[in-house]
Amino acid sequence: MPNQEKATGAVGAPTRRTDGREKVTGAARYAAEAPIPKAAFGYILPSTIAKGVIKSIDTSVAEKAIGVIAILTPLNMPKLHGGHSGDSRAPFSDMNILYAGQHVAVVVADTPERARHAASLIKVEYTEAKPIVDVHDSSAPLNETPTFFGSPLGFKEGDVASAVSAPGVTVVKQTYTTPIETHNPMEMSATVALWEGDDKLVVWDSTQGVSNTHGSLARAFGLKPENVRVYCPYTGGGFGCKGEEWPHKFLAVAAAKLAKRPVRLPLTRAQMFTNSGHRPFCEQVITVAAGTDGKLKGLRHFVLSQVSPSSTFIETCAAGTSRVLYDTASLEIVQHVKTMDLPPGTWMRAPGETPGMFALESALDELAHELKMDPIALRLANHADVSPESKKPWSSKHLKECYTKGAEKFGWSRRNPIPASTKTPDGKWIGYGMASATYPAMIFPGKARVRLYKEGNGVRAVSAAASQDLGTGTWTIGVQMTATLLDLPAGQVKFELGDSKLPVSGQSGGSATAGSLALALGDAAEALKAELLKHADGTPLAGIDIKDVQFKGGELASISKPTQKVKLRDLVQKAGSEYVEGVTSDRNKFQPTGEDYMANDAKYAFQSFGAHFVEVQIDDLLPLVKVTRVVSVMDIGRVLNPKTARSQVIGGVVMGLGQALTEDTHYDLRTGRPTNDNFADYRVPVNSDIHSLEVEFIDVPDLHFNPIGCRGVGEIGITGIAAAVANAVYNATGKRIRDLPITPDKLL
Amino acid sequence: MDNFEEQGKGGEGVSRRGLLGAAITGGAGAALAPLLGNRAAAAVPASSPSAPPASSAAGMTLHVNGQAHWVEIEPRVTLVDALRDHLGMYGTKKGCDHGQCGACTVLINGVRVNSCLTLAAMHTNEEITTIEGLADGDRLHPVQEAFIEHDGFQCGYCTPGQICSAVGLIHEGHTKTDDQIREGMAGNICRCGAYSNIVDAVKKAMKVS
Repeated sequence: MPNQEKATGAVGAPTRRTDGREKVTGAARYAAEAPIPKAAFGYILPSTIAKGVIKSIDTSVAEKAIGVIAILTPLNMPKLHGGHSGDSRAPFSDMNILYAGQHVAVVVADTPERARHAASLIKVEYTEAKPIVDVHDSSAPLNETPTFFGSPLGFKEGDVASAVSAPGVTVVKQTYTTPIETHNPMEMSATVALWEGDDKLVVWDSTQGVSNTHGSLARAFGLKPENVRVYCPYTGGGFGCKGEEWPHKFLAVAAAKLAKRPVRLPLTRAQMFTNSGHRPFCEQVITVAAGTDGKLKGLRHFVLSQVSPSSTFIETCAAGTSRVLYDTASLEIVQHVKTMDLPPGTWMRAPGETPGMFALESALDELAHELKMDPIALRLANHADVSPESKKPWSSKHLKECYTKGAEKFGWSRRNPIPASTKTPDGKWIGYGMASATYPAMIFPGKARVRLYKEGNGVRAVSAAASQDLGTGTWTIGVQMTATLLDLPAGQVKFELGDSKLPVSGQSGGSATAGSLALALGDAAEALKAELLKHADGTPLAGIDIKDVQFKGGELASISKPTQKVKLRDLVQKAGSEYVEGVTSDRNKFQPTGEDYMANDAKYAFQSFGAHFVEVQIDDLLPLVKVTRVVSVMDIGRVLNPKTARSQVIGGVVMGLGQALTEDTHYDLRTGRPTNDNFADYRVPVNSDIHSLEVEFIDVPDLHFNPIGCRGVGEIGITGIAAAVANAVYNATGKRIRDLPITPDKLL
Repeated sequence: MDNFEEQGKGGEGVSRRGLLGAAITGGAGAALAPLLGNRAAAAVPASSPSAPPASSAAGMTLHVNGQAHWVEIEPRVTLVDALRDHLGMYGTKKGCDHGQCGACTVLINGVRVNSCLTLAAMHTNEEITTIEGLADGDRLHPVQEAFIEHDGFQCGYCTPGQICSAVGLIHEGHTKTDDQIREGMAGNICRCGAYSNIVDAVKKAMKVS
C-alpha cells in the first residue's frame, strides 16, 4: 500500500505542496496584493494613549494633504449591524480608548506614502486616564468565577486538599508564569475592499476563516450573503491572529465606501501587536501530590490570566491539560481573570495548552525529581486509559508508544538524572528534558463538493471547499484526500479553496481543518457515488445496493463481486451533463464503514498525543540556552502527507522554542503601550537558533473520527516543548526556571 | 519623513527634491538610452499615482529582472514599495518595513539587500533581481526547486526573501557548514519555522548548481 500511495500521490505520500511553485516564484497573491486595479491605499492612525476618551479629531490639515481621498473616523463611520468579533465593540462606534494602539482614523490616499504622511497630520486630543496593565495591581477588576463560551472554568472532582495533606505523599507546589506572546505571522493582516454599486462587496482578506469573514461582513454591512464575495487564496501564516474578525476589516470596507474607490488596508507590524490579538499573560500554580509509586493522588491547577475590557477571550490553561492528560485521584481547577487595559487577547497556537503544558509538565518533572523517578516512568504510572474529562474511551491513543519511540530515538537512557553534573568536552553544561504533548481533535461543521469531468479516456476530479490554507498544507491534502476517496491518481485531481462562493467551511483553528475536510470530502464522495449510480441503468451495476459499491481505479465496482464494474467516464458520459457532482450532506455518515461520526462523538474522546525530547547546551559564563537536539514523536492518527505534517510539527516546535527562550511582549506599566512591538525587540527564533529537529509519527488511522482517519497537526507540536526545554535546563544546570522566557539573566 | 508634505508644498525641500529627481532621471535616462535600445521603448508603463504634482514625484527608470521600468514616484518611496505598489510586482514581500525580517530581500547587482531599507531612487543605475526574475522561463532556479523539494516554507510569505537571500548567500560563499548557512540565513525570519528545511534546501541547491 505505501508504495502505491507514493506512486499515486494519495494520502500517505510525501508529495510536494500543490501551491509550491506559486510560492517560490512570487506568483502567489496574498490579500494586500489583490488584483484589483485603481485601488487606493489606507493607513490606520493608532491611539497614542491606552485609556481615555477622544475629545476631538481634527482632520482639516490632513484632508488637504496631497493625494488624500478620504478620512474615516468615529465621526463619519457608518453604523454596523453586528459581525465584529476580536474586539467585541463595533469599530469606531464610540470615542472611548480601551487600549494602546486602538484604531482612531483611517486615511485613504493615492499612494501609501501619502496616506501615512497625512495620518501624521491628524490632530487627536484625548482625555487620558491611567491604564492598569500590571497584573499585580490590586485595583484591577478581578473575576473569580469567569465563564468562557457560557461554561464555568472551575472544576472539582474528589478532594485535593485531603490528598495533599495525607501522610506519605510527596507534594510539589509551584508557580509558573508565562508572558504575553504575539503571533506575528510574516504576512501582516490586510483587507482589500471593492464595492460594486451600493449593495455588492468584494473583499480580499488575510483570514483563517473565509466563510466566517464572509458572514461577518455581510451581517455588519446589512448585505445579502450572495452579494458578498471573500477571497483568500493564500494566508501568510495565522497561528490564531487571523481567526477573529478584527476592526481593520470593517474599516477597510467602510473606507472604500467613503472613498468611492477600492481600498487596500494593511496593518503595520506594530499594529500586529495591538490590533490582532495576543496570547494573554498567565500565572499558574500547580499543586501535585503523589504516592511513592508516583500515582497522582491530587492535582490542583490554579490559573490567573488577563482579559481585555473589549474582549471576552480567556486563556484557559487547565481545560486542555490537567483535565485530559493524566489519571489523578482528585482534581481541582480554579481560574481567575483580571481585566487589564490591554488590547484584546485571542487564540494563539494551542491556546491554553501552550502555557498550561509548560506549567503541568514542568511540575511533573519536579515531582519526578522529588520521587527520584524517571520522568517517563512517572508519566506512564499516570497514563489515562480513558478520558479523565468525559470518562469515554479514546477513539485511538498511542501515547505510550510516543514515549518509547522517542526515548529510543533520542537516547534518553544516556540521561544523567543528577542535575548539573554533565558537561560536553568543550565545557558546556548539557541537559536532557522531556515532556508530553497533547491537543484535542475537533470537527468544525462544513461542506465540500466533488465534481467528476470527462477528460481524455478517463476522468478528472475537482473538489472544493471555501476553506483556506495558512501554510498548513490544506491545498495539498485536499488533493490527496480526494484522490484516496475516489481512488484516482492525484494527477487527475484538483482541489480549490479560498473563495466564499465554494461550499461553506469552518475556520482553520483548533487543528480542525484536516479532520473536518476529511469528513466533508468523505461524505461528498459518497454523495457523488449515489449520483453516479443514478446513471447505472443498463450497466453491470444497475440496481446495486450503494453499500456494495466502491471507487476503484477509475471505476465504480461492486465490493462483493469485483467483476461487476463500470468506468467512471462512462457514467459521466451517460449523465449527459458537463460534470457529475456530490455535495456533503448534513448527516456526515460514511457508508462503506458504517461509521456515524455524529454518533461517534458521544461514544469516544478524540485527542492527539505526543512526546518531546530536548537536549540543551549552556555555556557557564554566558548562559544562553542552545537547543541542540529535539526529537518529537506524534500520534495524530493517519498521516496525510509526511512532508507537510512534519513541517507542521517542526513549526510548532520552533515557535515553542521561541516561547521557551525569547518571546515576551512588554507593556510599559505607566503608559500601557507595548515597548517591543517589532521584530528587533520581540525576538522570534531565527535560523541560527535552530539545530537538529527530528519528527516521528505513530501513523495509526483514527477511523472513528473521520473516513480518512486523520487528526489535525497544526498545534500539538508547540504543546509541551517549553516544558521539555525548561526540564532540560534544570537537568543541565540545577536551576529550575518557572518564569518564561528562559533568558540568560535568569541563569546567572 | 514627517516634514515631507511641507517640503512638497514649497520652500527649500522642493528644489532639493527636484534636483534629486532631475539628477536621477537625467543621469539614468541619458546613460541607459543607447544601451537599452528597444527595451527602453518597451518599458512597462507603471501604475503611477494619479496626477502627482511636479514637485512631488520624479520620473526614473528601474531595471528589474532585465527589464527597464519607467516610474514616476516620490523620492521617499522605498524600493519594496516601488516594486509592489508602483510596478505591481508583488513577489517581493513586506513583513515589517523596518529591515528586521528579510521578507523584502532582493538582489541588487547580485548582492542581497532589504528593499524596505533603501529608496528606489538610489538604484536607478543598478540591476535589481526579484523572485520573479530567478526562473529561466518555466525552468525554476535550483534554489527554488530545492525549496519545493525540502518543503522550505509553509505559508510562503517569507519565501521570496528567503530564496533571494539564499541565492545571494551561495554567491558570497559562506555556505561551507550548516552553521554558516544558519548564520547567513539568520536575517530572514520564517515564523512557520521551516529553518531546518531551508538549510537542507540551500545545501541541495549548492550540489545542483
